[in-house]
Amino acid sequence: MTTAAQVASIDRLRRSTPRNGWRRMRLGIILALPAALYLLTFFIVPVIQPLVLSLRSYDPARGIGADLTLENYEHILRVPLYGQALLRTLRVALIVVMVTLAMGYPVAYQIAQGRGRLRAYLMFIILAPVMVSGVIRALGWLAIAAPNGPVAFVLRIVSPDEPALLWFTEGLMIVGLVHVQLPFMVLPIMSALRGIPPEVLQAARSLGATDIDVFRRVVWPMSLPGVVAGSLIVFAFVSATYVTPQLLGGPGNRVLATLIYQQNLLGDRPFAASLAVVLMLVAVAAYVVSTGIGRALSRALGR
Amino acid sequence: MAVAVTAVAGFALLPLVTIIAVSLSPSEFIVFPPKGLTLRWYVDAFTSTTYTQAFAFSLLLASAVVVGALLLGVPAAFALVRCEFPGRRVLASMVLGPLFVPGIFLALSLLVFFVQLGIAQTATPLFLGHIVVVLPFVVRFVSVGLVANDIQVIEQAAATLGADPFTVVRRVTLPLIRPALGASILIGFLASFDETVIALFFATPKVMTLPVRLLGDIEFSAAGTLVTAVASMLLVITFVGVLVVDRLYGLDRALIGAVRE
Repeated sequence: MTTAAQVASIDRLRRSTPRNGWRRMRLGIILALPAALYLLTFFIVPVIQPLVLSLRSYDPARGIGADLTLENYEHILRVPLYGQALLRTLRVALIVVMVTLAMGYPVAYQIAQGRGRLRAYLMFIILAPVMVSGVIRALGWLAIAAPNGPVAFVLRIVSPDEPALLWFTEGLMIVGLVHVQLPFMVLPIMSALRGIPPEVLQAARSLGATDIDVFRRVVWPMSLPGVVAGSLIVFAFVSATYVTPQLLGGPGNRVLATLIYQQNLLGDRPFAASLAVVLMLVAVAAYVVSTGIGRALSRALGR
Repeated sequence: MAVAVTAVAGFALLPLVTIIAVSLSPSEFIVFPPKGLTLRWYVDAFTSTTYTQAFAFSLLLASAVVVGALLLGVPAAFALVRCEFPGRRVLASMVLGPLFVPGIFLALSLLVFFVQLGIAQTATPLFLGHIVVVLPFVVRFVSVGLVANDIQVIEQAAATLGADPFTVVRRVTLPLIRPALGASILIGFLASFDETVIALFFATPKVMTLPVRLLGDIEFSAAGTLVTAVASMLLVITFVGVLVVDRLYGLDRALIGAVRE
């Protein structure tokens, strides 16, 4: 759900309660004030900082400069390294979206359709890994792809040459990212599929549609909002993720997030901030594009 | 179709199973097939001060963060769902905001903020930052819990029977939202425990969470078997927690719209 949709749903929840005018309002303000002040201080204010900071210069000898300048952004545009990293980030994000969609849709379909125990197990297997730390998941893939690990073992049987190192490759990074993002693609699609009233499917069948027809002309279009939502979530996440690319992709496959951390480590926080702003722009752009697609879809579906 | 789905399920479990399998191998680095079975790495993990300290730190931090998030979030959820006041919608958006800001962006922002305040070397920024991350979960779960199951009907019944508002909350509302509270506590705890990026930005030898410790060891001394033993234990703890959330509340309900690395 988008923020607007979540706010609207909280709104709808709220409207079902009786209101007692001024006392309710005073109570509401008192209850909400601590959280509001806290978020203002430790969320809103900090999050504005990178924007301002990115306009400052940095010198290892003299620290952060006082004047406002666009040199950080110029640097990003001029030095090919950063353009490459940005392209890699976007490319990897797109690939991960497509792979998770291909893998996740059948799973979501099965979960939405299934009954009882099997469905519960499947859902648990797919969703539980979400709460496992990214470090641990990446470690799992490092173990699988280790120089003397299972994959290398199989490769040595198949081919006489020494297998190439799988660590620190873009391929391994993509595999790890797909693994992390899969549940986030499955969830929205599952949600959308569950929202299809069974009567609609029955109606289609009673009008003579085959199973394939039912899927192609009813189920798939009605699941599209879930597909778009899942794609947006996965894309936004992958473009901003740090742990998996760092451990699996290594220094040769830098993405935006690992670049930001590296620059921070080197001390150049203004430059890290400018990269972070670029990251935010990517996320915002993805949101705008997907909202546009969502709206076009709604029109096409006649809602 | 069933084959494809089974394959995907297998894929989902593969790295996790591998970690546990590898942790039982006697070799110091990952070798397949393993040359035997041993629990020595688990023993080493328990006797290693670096890991036990990091574990204790993460435990303490996550507990404190959950308490803080509950103190702020439960009243806020009440206010958002049951009351009307100016700026209510703004607050609703603000509370959900951290879910939509990329982790690394938030981490950098917090670092800059606390460096300016001069306390970036302590555990305080980490504590405060994690509360920002966990707060949306608490508010969401409790908000949903407050409108489910005709709670208000029961509350009104209690009121007509003579209970004052405080008693109603204490003896009717809070018990009825227990599943939601339980789920938010567990998910919030896990979210803070596993959070890596903010913890990384504020990491110092004295301020070291377990995931950051693992991250450092993996990066600088290769993925040795000891690391997998620690990771296995974390895995089991996480799965137990997730199982409880699923029983209490429903894992899919808990995760819809909720995201974090």
